[in-house]
Amino acid sequence: MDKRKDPVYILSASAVGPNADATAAERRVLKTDPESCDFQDIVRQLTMHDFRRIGHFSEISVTGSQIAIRRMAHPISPNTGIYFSTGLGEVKKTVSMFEQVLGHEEGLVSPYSFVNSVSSTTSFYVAKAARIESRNITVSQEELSFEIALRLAQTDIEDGTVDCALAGGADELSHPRSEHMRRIKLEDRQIMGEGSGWLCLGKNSRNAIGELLMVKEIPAPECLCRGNGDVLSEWLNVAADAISPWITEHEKTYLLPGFRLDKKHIEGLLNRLPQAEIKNYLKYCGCFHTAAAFGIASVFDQPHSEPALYFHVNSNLYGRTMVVGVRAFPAQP
Amino acid sequence: MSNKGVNIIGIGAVSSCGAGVKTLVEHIREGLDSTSLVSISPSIPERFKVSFIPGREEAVKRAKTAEEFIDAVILKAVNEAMIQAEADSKFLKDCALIIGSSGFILEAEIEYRIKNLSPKSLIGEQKGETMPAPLARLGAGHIASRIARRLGINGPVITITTACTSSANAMLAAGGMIERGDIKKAIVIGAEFISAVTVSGFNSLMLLDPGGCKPFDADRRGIQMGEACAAIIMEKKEKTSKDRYSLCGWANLCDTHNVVSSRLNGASAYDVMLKAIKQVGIEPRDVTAIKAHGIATPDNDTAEAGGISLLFDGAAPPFTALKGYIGHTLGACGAIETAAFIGCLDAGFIPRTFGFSEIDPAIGIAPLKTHLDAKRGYYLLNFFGFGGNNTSLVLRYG
Repeated sequence: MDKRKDPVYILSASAVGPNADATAAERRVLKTDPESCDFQDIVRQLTMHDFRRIGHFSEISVTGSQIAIRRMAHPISPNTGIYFSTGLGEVKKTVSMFEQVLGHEEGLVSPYSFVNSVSSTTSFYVAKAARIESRNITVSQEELSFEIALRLAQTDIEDGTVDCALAGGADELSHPRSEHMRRIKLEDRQIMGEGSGWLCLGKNSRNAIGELLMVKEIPAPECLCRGNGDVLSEWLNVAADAISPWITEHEKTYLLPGFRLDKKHIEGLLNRLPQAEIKNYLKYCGCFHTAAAFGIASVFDQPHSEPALYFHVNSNLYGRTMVVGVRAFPAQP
Repeated sequence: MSNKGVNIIGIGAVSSCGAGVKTLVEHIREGLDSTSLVSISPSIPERFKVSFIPGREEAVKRAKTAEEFIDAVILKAVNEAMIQAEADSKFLKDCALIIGSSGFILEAEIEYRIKNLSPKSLIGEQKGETMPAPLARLGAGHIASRIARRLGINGPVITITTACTSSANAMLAAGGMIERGDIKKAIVIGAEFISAVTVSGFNSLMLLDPGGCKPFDADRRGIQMGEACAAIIMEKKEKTSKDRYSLCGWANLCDTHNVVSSRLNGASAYDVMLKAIKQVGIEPRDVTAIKAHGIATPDNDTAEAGGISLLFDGAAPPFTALKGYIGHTLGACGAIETAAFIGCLDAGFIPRTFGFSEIDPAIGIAPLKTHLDAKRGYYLLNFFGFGGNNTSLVLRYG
């Protein structure tokens, strides 16, 4: 079961979608690729800071992290590490910087475009808005960025490097779709998206809304040839083996498939885990590298009346898979 | 001495001094200049000193794709580290691969230039078809995924991207994962390739010194851009281990004062250095010498020197900076400067600060002007970056 040393609790969560939706009531099913919302006023209201020069990507990230902090029952500990993740980072400002420097006029880059494109800038603003000066790490590992950031956060809490962690993921979309597809490679049927998702994690169970059960990696198909079965069945066996020991009779179980999982993987998993129901969060946020952060955080959009288990499963284009398991606690009376 | 930490069993490097740690150390010992003068843009008459990997222009021209050039450099550094670590392909199977880079902008830039017919370039002439918009921002993580597949690595694959502390934080992440027993060994790679876009960005912030890097010098004016790749192989420390180098302490903190500069009073630098030292269980007086970040901008050197003065209460141990030799290699500096420093210790010396000549009265302390004999002990390695991202590592030698 790969149980960890000490439980890591989820103290609060927030998921911000493409329409600046942050609650269950605000969620809208996306029918087409969304346009980007303006987050400037939201950021100003949440932070009381003048962050007007930050890019849209940082705005989404700061918004999500601030909502998660506000939803905590206690003030955030100063020894909270920030574990931020992104697949692509600041796309629009980087594109604009390329146009400024390499375009036909070969001009100079604007300092703000450059600073916004730097990989540590967004997590700096997240930290500044939260007034946190502890560990601050940004992970960028394509479709598995959030899962890896979450694992680093989990282990740093377990060994006492930090008291709490703010683990999040964010990505922004850009138009036209044909250009963005070069970066993210979606199928025609998949809607592109953007957003951010954040979990505040800690060791103290008081007022916790859930528990982080596991963050586990499943090797790429070429490493799974341990039996005579085909690669898909091996993958399904290993994925189901990772999840099934956690399943209990008295808790509902949900599967959150990431955007790289295809139909046969999802159906195969459901066959092996008959207790599980699908929860399709992608219809609200669209597809982006750190959509897992949105999906896992949105589990806590509404208080739970009963405990429930959620397992997010996603792969990258190299065939590596990661599974994240969380338990949602029933709301305290 | 403490038995805490993680062993460093192999290092490899490709830098402006050429391929190999030995070549790099010889350049440092002899104080050779490895810079080229380049122009950034037709609109800027001034030319700037930059530390390119030798032969990169020809290599980029020869390469059919950006990945061909980038992977060749990375694999060269990895191979050198593997030879030193006596590691074979079996060793790699359950290894973690942790790359630190500020984002591999060069890859996007090469693709863009190939597609957009842009002849004036730091990376050499490229011609090709016209594309409607730049193919910028591919995401940093795909290079690690690609390299892991090429090397047959099945362990965790992680890319840390925290600007100039990226590969220092990759070592910190590897150290933590190995100490906790999550993994037994890791290859940490720091890789950064100069891109016209990045150079132009630093120029827009007026942070480049056309005359090259002069760390802690009274006349310092800024950064000398550099590119490099280094590989560091780390593994669990055994009680019986006779290995000579270990990473035994580390800390990372975020200074939220300003996105591009540290607190000038040195408080943030002090905090992160102290935290790393405390993790080892030693006192500041136990530090033999410091490899400073020494970026050579007026503010950041003032802040770092202020932190050193605070921590050592006016009795700072010898300190040095390496960016005068190889430039500021941004996300790669954690790995390449650690590899260079270990290489120098192995060769018997603590290197002097290339580029430094005159003490800055506002700083009040001076880095090494001549090489010192290396001795066993604890060495503090500092790496500070944009976004207030500050990291200190403690290296134990002997």
